[in-house]
Amino acid sequence: MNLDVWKAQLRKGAAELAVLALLESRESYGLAILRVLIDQRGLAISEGTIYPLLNRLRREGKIDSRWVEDEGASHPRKYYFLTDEGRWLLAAMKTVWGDLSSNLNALIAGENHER
Amino acid sequence: MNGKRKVIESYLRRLRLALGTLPVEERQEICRELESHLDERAGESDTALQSCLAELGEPETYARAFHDDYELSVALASGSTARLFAQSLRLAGRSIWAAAGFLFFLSLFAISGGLMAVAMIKPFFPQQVGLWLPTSGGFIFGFVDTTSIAGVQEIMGWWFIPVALVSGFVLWILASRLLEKFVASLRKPRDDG
Repeated sequence: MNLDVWKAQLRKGAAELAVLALLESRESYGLAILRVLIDQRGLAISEGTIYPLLNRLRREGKIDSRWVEDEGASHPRKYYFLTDEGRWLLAAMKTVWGDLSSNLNALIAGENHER
Repeated sequence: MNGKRKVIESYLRRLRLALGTLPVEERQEICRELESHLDERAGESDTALQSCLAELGEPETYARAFHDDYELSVALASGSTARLFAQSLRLAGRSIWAAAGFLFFLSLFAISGGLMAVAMIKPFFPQQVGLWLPTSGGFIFGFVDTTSIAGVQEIMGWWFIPVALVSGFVLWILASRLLEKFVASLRKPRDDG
């Protein structure tokens, strides 16, 4: 299997989880979300993909938004926050991710061990 | 700053045009949000705006991500088979997965439509429509040339009509449900690696 294809598929799901997780503790706006997530090189989040992603999550009812006039900002910023549905979904996604990654990590570690 | 302002405004103007098919309100939201983003980036440093615009790509390309998702969500919300089918056709040019799905559903709907069509012409051509099991093996089904069924007895009689109608209909329903799932699976965030 082509490694790039596999990586792209992995990233898509992870990007959504990352955004939802980031919004769990507090609401945030596009550029601030981007600044945190752009350093996570494993995720496919860039300046070109962040707003389409946020837009899709909002359309799917997982997040909602409001315009806020921050002090010192030249323009109002669009802040996103989790909806009840998004919060519920995030909890479920965390469980799935936790199980999957711990099982996989154990498996990978075990294989290395035998060699 | 004036030069940057011009660059931003020109980008937004092209984006607004490219988002043409979206509802006005949504178009405005997207542009207003990006304007806020671009202004903030422009204030960071001289090169920040340039690298940001390079990341975004051409406004027409950038608009496509919003456009695709909008079209898909409208089709999914409508639940209309025709709309969903149109979406799978539109996306067939973009990915092999969508193209394969389109062909698969095209054949399912063709078979289903064919079943219902032959059921309806049976009353007009009772001798040429039916199911035959030739002794040479296999079967002949549907609207056929009489020379190919010479000497073989049709086995369904008038039952052909309800059986073909119902199976065609059931296949249609199943294909529509499956198509909805398939189109939903196409709704993925764009990945630019």
